[in-house]
Amino acid sequence: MKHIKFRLAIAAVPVLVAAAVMVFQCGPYIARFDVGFLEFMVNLKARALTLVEKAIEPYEPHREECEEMIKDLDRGFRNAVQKTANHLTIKQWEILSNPRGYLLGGFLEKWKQEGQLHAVFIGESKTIIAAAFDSLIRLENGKPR
Amino acid sequence: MGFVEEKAKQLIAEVGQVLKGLPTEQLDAVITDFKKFLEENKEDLNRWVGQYMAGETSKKEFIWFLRSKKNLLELKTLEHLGLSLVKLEKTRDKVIKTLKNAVLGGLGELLRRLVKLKRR
Repeated sequence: MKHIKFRLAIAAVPVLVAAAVMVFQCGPYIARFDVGFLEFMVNLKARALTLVEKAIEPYEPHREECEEMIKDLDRGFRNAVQKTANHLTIKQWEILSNPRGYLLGGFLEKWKQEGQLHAVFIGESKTIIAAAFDSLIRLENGKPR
Repeated sequence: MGFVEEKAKQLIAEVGQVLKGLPTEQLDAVITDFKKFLEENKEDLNRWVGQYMAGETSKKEFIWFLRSKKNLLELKTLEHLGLSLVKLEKTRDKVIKTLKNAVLGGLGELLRRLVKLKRR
């Protein structure tokens, strides 16, 4: 009888381990890959870089385009917020679009404040903003399918 | 004094002023971070210093480039963290799958033994 009890206890060990694992399994660590969102980002990057180049001209004629871009940045941020376990992407959108920051949001704000920017500044900023978008795109692309 | 030397002197004096106000332990951390930053962004920094010294960009713009580079590094850090989480999740899922298989195997064995016992 003792022998049987011992064997039963041994056989029950995996059940207990699995139960413990299931209890501690707290869902996904990171949001799932979203092909629509990725396409949105790739498209936004192309539009953003075209807009950045236009900062060689006065801001006023491009005000609408800039405001549309800011709305799209907000759209991207809100899309990221709606997903579970997406805090890293949310933070990336915050940094990219922050008007007091030094990436796209900050660049558009600077253009608005100063009225017009010069070629050297635009060229350097464009490279950095493109790299910023690439970072967001790489993270989205690397998420589990 | 030439234009280039004057700009370089100004820049060094300004950096010196910022560093002067820091406590020693923070200063060490700043110097370590700064060295790492310089090594990783050598090419960009050389170009930006050249542009600043040639009068193509202002001091404000030079600082802007440094800050945007910092923002970019933050984005890349988040990206690397995210990609590490993806790997971690894959590993976790593999472990869970293995455990589930072990549990099913264990349950099967348990049932088999119980049936055997009942028959006796």
